[in-house]
Amino acid sequence: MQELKDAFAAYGADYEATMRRFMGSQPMYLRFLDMFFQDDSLQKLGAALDAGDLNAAFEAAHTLKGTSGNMGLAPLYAAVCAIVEPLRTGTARGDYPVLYQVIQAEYQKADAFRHSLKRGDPV
Amino acid sequence: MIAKKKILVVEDNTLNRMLLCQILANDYDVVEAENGKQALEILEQEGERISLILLDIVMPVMDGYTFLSIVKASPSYSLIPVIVTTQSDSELDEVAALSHGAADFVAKPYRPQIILHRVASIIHLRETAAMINLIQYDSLTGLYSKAFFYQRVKETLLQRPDQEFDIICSDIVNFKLINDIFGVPAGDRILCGIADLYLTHSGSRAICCRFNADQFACLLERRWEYTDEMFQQACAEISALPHAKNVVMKWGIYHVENRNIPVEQMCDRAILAARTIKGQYGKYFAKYDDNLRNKLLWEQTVTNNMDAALQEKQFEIYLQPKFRIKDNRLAGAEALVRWKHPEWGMQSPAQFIPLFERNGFITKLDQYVWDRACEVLQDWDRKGYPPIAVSVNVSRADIYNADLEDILQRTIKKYELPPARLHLEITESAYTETPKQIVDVVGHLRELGFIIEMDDFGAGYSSLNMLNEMPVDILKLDMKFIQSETAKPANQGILRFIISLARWMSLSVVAEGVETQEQLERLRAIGCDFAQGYYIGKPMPVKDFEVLLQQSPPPLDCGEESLHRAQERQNQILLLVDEDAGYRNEVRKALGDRFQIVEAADGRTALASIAVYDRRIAAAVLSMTLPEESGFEVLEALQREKAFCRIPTVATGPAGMQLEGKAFAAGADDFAAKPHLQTSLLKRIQHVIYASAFEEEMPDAAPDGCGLLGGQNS
Repeated sequence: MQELKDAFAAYGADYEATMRRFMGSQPMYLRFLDMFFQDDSLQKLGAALDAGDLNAAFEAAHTLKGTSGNMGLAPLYAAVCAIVEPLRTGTARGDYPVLYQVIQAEYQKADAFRHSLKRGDPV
Repeated sequence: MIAKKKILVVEDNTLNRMLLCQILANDYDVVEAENGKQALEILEQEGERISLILLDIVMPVMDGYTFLSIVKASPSYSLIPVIVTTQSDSELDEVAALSHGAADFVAKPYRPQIILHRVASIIHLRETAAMINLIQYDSLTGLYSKAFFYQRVKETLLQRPDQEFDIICSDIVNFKLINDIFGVPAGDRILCGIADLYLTHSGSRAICCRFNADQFACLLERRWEYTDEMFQQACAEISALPHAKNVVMKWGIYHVENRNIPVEQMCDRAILAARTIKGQYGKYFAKYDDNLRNKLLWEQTVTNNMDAALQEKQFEIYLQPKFRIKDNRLAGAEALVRWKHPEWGMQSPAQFIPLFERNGFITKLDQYVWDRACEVLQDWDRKGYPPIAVSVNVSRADIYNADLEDILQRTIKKYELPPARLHLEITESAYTETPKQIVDVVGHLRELGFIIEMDDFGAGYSSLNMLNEMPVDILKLDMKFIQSETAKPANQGILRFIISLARWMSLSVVAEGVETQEQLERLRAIGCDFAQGYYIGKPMPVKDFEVLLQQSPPPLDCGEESLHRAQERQNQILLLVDEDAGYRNEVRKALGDRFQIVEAADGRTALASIAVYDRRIAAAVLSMTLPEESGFEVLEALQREKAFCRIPTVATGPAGMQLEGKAFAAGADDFAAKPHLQTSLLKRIQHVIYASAFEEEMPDAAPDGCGLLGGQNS
């Protein structure tokens, strides 16, 4: 338990608030977390940005924001929020690739967090 | 178990959707849709079974706004509340959702407690609002309707957990009778009056409703102990309403302890309590309490045991002898049932019969008693004892059993008995409840040869008109209903009247419940035929009765006696005096099977007939237009006879007030204007006969003040 809390803290997520969403069940959280990484919203976001399709980019980013929020992946969530707002208004900006790279980096960190949880998990 | 409410979750992202479902799954049934299009398809199937929709706005195929617009425009779905899930990143989203008709929104990331609360409160709000569509008020009394009352009580109990409450229900005894006697509008006025009293007395915070036809219910804050005086006072006020003098109201109180039981059940408990004091004079209210609960539990135990008891032959018949009063000769027996339970011991019928009547088991028990009684009779026949008839009870529920006739026929055939050996006792009140059906069923049984006894005569409300239609051979008079009779000499007429009425209808009378020498002597003095009761013979086991039978002279059969009487009745004479042979012919055709008709074409012949037939003449139909006005002469002769033996007379003649007036002045009892229907003549004849029998027995009573006489047929 303490290990888990520590892992959350080390990653920068709110253990209490997140686990409450999953009725305090770690197995359930881990199942959903796996599901999160199966989602292709990140790839869609990258492809849409490459193609300059801001609408599709917004939809992908919006989904990613919702799911990362629900998973309590706070650093990733913050990175996604930074891109969602300009995309919502359809503003063409030069810093989208940079913002996307930040998201990608956070995505990797989140995945590392997932693995750390699994290693610590007795199951 | 209450079915869970159903929620439709519309969300394209699998993770979000599944998480939402997880959050809701404990409290709700959840159906899922990936987009607006799918959601509409589900709505088409489920319709209003969906209590609420949770909707994501940003979705492919059909987005949330489009879906919301379609749902809100549809008359079938627009009442289903929609909560939109947004990503708290834009107030604009929320405003747009609300303006599209969403009831509320919840933000991502999800906060389960908040979602559950919002969902619950929106569903509750919608259901409460839907209540406005319930019929809120009872159209007659203006009190709340039952459905609305339930809802209001439920809310009040939820909102004020610290306040103690009582539910009071009231029930009017025999309200149907009030409607029957005074008419439905009068009954309605009484109900309105009672409703007003409820509003005045229960205070502004009470919630009152008309619960059922003549039942009222009220939720009250518990402020005091209830006393008889409080309800007595209320009864007095109700009695002061027009036509409500004899309204008897019983109250039942349920003290609300467990708020989780449905309000319906609380009201039922209060009504149950009220029912326990039905028929108890001076008892105004009863509480649903441990005693009552125990009684109901006891009844449940009995109910659980009764079938086994029947199989194990724990029920036993006892026979109570009947005697002819004038010479104390044995004249039959009544079969009564006793329950010898291996653990509880001997159970009084008073304890279990009313319960069996309510739970329907009485029909099985009755059949068992019929079978046992017939078995005993066959046994005695085989032993060579003189035949005796046994009365058995036929309960109200048996009458409704379509197989009644078959079962009875099969039983007597099985034991090789003629039907007349079995007397069927049917309680008078059964006759008053469903007169038509009972007259048909019982009439048929009587045609088959069973002897019919009307039980508890005098306890019900038979009108004399009805009595004449009823297929009955013997009246059983329960002394407990006329015991006050023996104590009050001024009213002794009623018993005499019943006897003379029975005499006129060719019925035998058995007085049961005879417990004292004094009662027996009085019955003897007024000419009652048979008696049954502890004073002359207790109910006894079959073996003991067998001894009595062996020691007695051959028994009579009170049924046979009434059959003789019925023949006599055929011989009652109707004196028909009319100058018109055609008219006489018509009347003879119509009434010939009811009376022996003696005709006379003129006054002289009529007078001669009166001299010859004298007391056998039950009534006269007399033309007022005989030659030389001799009709009046005859009337005078009939008048003279009146001093000794009244011959009631229906005068006839062409319509005209003068002639009618003269006829009444000369002493006619009624006037039938020609031409008339033969049935109307018959009714008039019956009425004058009843009325004269009544006057004879109760010279002090004003005939038109008496409810027993039914409608005045003038």
